[in-house]
Amino acid sequence: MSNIERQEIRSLQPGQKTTLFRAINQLKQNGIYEKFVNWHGIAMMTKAGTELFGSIRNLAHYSPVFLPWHREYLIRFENALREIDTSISLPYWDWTIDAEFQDPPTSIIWTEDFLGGRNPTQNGLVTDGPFKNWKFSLNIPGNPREAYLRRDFDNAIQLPFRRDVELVIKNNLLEYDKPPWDGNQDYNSFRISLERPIHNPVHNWVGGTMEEAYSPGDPVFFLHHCNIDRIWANWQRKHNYLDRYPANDKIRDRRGRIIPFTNRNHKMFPWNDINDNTHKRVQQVLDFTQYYEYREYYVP
Amino acid sequence: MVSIVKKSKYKDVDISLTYTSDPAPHHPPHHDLGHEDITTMADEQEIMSDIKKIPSFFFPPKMVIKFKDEEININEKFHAIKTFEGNYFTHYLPYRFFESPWDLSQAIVDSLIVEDEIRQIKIKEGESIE
Repeated sequence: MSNIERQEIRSLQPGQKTTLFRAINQLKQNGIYEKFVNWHGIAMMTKAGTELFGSIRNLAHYSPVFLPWHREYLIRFENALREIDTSISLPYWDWTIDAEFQDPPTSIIWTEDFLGGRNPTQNGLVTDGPFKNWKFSLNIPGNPREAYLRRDFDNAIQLPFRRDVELVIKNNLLEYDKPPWDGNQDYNSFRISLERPIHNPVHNWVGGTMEEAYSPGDPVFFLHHCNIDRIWANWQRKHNYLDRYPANDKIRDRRGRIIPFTNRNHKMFPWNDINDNTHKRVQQVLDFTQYYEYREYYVP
Repeated sequence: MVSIVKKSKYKDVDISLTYTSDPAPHHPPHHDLGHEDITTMADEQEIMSDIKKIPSFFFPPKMVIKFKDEEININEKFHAIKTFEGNYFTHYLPYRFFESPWDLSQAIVDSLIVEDEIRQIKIKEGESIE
């Protein structure tokens, strides 16, 4: 069992918030943050499996590895923060709270004391708060470029409601994932029910940086994915499904070929050095309780 | 091979879609990851020969925009594909699914315009950004 407890960002004490934001900025200054952004970008831009067309599956999304990959990514990010200050644990942003607001962009989350807002006179650039005027060099294949931290707050998109999340968690008929193991629209597994209708709209609602392949360029990415991981953890706890991931080499493409970096016995990309013990296999992140716990869950 | 070209303008940017009966790949193959499970060259060749048998309507049209005098092939630069469900998708805007190639092209144009405006603002401000 771990002594790390993750909590909602709004419940952090002012001192905890300052420590967190200072550590994130330190990672940005020493280049580690950019490494995280580019890990996500390269995983997003690399197809997983042999289906060259039609499938949108990549090495971190629209595939069963979506949840383990992001769990490992958050653990690595949390560890990097804790190397700066051991009191830090990664907070989550429970956007189901904001979904009930009449005007979610006015949430305290987007104020100077939290993540900063968007500057409407400068195309949504973030020009206040702890991450103001952030700029990145992005190593995206075929499209290397510089980008600025930007948000849109697209009110045409609805943030997910608590009832939507609870329905997915409570459904004990859902398997973790099913063939064809990709981004298909039949919401007949837990992973796809969480990934497309709940996870995606939050990216698109925040918009700007969060909408693109280098979405971790906005620190809210880590808070959003922490909440996604909390929902998975809740589903695992509720049904005692800590180990419920398809068996070794079961995840194959339409031609029967094993999909790389995705099966429970595989290491995940780009942490796939066979000789490096810090590079985990999927099965090593299924039991989250050895790394952290969440203070609260949606469904008891 | 038969090609049909459709042209349109969006926010002063020329967009052209080329539908062709030739199902040539418009999406770059994945990178060599050096993993034992990754596709071999023989596999790739087998798949490519299969692809030639698939009807062309399975593939997205070639989407080209002319932005600031630069011709941009959206399929290649932004990794655009047509999904098995018939949506259009780009790994550049990976959390959205588009109903048509026009919608996808316009979203890319919107994104490029914003990026360009931000660049202009920053140049005007003398790159005060960190």
